[in-house]
Amino acid sequence: MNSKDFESHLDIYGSRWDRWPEHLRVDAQVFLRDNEEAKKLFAQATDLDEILPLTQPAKVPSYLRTRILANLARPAIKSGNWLDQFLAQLWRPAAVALVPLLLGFAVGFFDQESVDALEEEIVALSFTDFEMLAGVYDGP
Amino acid sequence: MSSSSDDELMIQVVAQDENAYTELMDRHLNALYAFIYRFCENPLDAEDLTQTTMVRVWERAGTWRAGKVAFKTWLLQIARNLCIDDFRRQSRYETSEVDPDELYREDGKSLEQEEKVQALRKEMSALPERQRTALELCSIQGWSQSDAAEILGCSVDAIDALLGRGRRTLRLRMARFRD
Repeated sequence: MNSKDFESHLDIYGSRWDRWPEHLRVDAQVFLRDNEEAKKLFAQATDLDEILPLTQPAKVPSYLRTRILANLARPAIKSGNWLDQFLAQLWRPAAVALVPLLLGFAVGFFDQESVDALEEEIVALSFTDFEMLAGVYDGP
Repeated sequence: MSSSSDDELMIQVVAQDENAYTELMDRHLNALYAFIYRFCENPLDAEDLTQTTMVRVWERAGTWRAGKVAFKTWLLQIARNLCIDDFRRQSRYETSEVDPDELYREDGKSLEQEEKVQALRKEMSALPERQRTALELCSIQGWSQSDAAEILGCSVDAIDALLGRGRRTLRLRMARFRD
């Protein structure tokens, strides 16, 4: 490790050895022991780490906790009436049951052509003389 | 306070358990507020955004997936997205009318130390947002680089680069107090 490496690692990990990666820690400690410039840099980093926590704001204002709790949206209180609860729960199965019904309406509405053809067939059948047809097929 | 993990509590929150929600909030509110404050640097905006984030956790609890993402990561991802949206809406944050020094810890710091702390705050404010956020997460709140990468939506190498640049700037600018 040289001075430049030591300085750049020191700027990342600071003066607390537990924050240094293991593979760098021992090399850095050996380098620090024998190098005056490194000692000076390390002292600066130690100062910085001592003062940094003091720059934090004081504790949260005491009213903030109360304000947060007052702003929570609570679920509506459940009614004690069993009928209300039953009806409130009924909409889901009712909605599911409506699906095939609506599907039937939709198919009937969009498949008008085949309905018309069926009606024509019924009308045609109503005008057919079945006795005569029977005579044709039964032979003379 | 129970010994349940965040994930166990969150499973209860999904079922709209308000007690579990309150416990989760008590665990993370300070860190959340500090994270948001570091982003917007305005106490009123920080309060509003902290509230919006926590309310969103309640409303969108159903979208959280156990085992996929840690609760705290998810929480800060929500907070950061809200901060970015809010920042875009306002185009820039206005300077707070509240004296920021009134909001910071007053725990018997010496005059010299107080001077250092104020100088560092100013230097941090001048850093780009991503460097500031990486510093807040890793160097102050103690997150690992990989967890911070998840929140910022980038690689671990990118987090290392952000930390390296941010810490170097601060270290060099704060060196005057030492020399």
